[in-house]
Amino acid sequence: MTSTKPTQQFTLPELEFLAEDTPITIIPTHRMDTLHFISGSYGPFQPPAHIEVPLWLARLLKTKRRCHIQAPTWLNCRFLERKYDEEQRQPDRFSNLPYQYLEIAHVLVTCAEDDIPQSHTIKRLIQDLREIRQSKARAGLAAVNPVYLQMDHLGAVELNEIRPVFCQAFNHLRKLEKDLGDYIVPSYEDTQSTTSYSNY
Amino acid sequence: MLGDTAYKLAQETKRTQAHLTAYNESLVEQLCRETRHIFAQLEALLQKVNPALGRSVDTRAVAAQLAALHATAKRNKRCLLAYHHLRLQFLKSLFWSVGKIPDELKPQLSPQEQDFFSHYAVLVSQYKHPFVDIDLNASELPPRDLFIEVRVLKDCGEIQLEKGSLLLTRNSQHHVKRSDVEHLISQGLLQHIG
Amino acid sequence: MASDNVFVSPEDSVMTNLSPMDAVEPTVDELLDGALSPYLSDDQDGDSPFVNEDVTKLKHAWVNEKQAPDLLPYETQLVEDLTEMLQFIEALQGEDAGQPFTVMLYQTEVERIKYLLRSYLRTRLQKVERYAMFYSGSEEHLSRMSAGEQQYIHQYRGLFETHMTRTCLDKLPESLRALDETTGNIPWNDTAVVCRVQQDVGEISVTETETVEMRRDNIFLMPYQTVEKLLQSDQVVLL
Repeated sequence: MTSTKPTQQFTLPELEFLAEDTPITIIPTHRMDTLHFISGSYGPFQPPAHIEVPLWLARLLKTKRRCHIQAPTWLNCRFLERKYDEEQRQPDRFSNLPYQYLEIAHVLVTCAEDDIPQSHTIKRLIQDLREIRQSKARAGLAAVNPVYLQMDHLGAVELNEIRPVFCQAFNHLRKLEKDLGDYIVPSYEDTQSTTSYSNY
Repeated sequence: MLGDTAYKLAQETKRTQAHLTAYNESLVEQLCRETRHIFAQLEALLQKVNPALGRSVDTRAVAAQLAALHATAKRNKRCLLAYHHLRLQFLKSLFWSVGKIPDELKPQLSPQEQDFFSHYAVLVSQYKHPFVDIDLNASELPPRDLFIEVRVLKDCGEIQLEKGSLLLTRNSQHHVKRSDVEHLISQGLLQHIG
Repeated sequence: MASDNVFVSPEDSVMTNLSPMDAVEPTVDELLDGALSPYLSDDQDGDSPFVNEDVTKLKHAWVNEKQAPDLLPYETQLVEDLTEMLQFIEALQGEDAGQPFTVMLYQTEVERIKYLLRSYLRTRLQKVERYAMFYSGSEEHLSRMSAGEQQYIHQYRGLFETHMTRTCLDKLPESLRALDETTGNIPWNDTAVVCRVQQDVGEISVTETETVEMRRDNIFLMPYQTVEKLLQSDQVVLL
């Protein structure tokens, strides 16, 4: 049932859509003239010259066997392991990962597993990062105060997950502080979104 | 007891959140009648404290009664509005997802609700007019694949595609452009299989 | 040769000559310095390919509209320009289609842009409907709507009032028959939103006594009212 109520929550497909303009380097396997899209021009495609295209186009060309994907420099075992260590060493802050790292990793690992070295390990590392950051985010709820909260390097999917609870907590605290009498605090119930990748 | 009928309507409203129940005309009428009766009682009370009649009355007791009656009347009004409002949300939701009222749900609606639905449909199509190409009613799902595999669940007959037409008989499978068949999928006539 | 490819920025040139199978491990410094910057914000720096900013702006407009409790000003130019582009491309496809494969690519993008426009317009329409009673009486809010939305809200309000009157209000005592403007609520502008800072803003007041420094790429959870002006001037985006 389509909701007619405005909601702040995104669905996972919507979050992926928003991530799909991320530039990704591909190695075309077929020649193609420059493509003039509404959103930008890309090309010409001259194998084996690398070229940067948006993620949605990279995925499409890959699934049609017109290119190979070059994994972004951060989608790499050593880098992700270092980040995981950082997450463990610094329990009160998030490590610096691309804002849409989960969405990008998900798309690439799904459509271009063969192009990503050690993809199984990468999947596991992404999952580990997701879990440790998730529990950090939840623990951060205790820090919510009625003034502001700083959450640098939080990811899009992660934010979407905690937003309802954090915003509601914030709003309640503010209300208590301001003592607005019988003012009713709106609730951010969203009955539609599934906000977690269950298995990586 | 004061407020009992309103409570019943509130419960009815809550049930409607899960699925559309039949429009409860009798309960609505009852609540409206009760509210008119409350106001009649209010009038009578006001007469009692009218100084022109020169009677000495415990004004605090009367004030308390007036307050209670008035609050109840207002609450009844809120319950009525909430009930009707929730049902409207349901109708609008149906419009945006399916585009029409499914036959099995028609008996659940009051004539005014059917009216609302058809006027709402007109209103939205007027708004959509300058954006006819982007098809405001289309799926809320972001586009993934331009073409999809579908299986026909119920006979649809011949449908018009962007280019040409297609005969959709039950159990047949087709490779089609998503935008051509989305509305049939949301109505449950086709199944998206890949 | 990769070097005549405009899509390679100088810092990345070390990476692009490699095939996916035998990538050399980048040094940690290279990773931390260069690799993450394209992802930190949507800004396109110097050597990037031609990108139509309108699409990026419309994405932001949609997300902002979804997150903000109150109606934001309608992006007349963006919607007009993109709708025109869509019509232009569709006309082109009609005339000289070209290779089926490239046609499919173009059509895929067309669907994406349509989806974005659709989402933007519907998010706004949902807000307009929700606060119809209040917005239709507010000059400020009406001025933020498109002509289509203004017409819509008045008609929707009429439809709504007629329905409520016929089904219950007319059967109530006379003094209870009004549909007050607060029916259906008023947007609460003190509600929490999450935003990312797009450029250094400096110190911002968060209470009567406290301030906080807002620097580029910071992410904050704050009351909407605190960031409303920053949003209007594109100094923050909502997330």
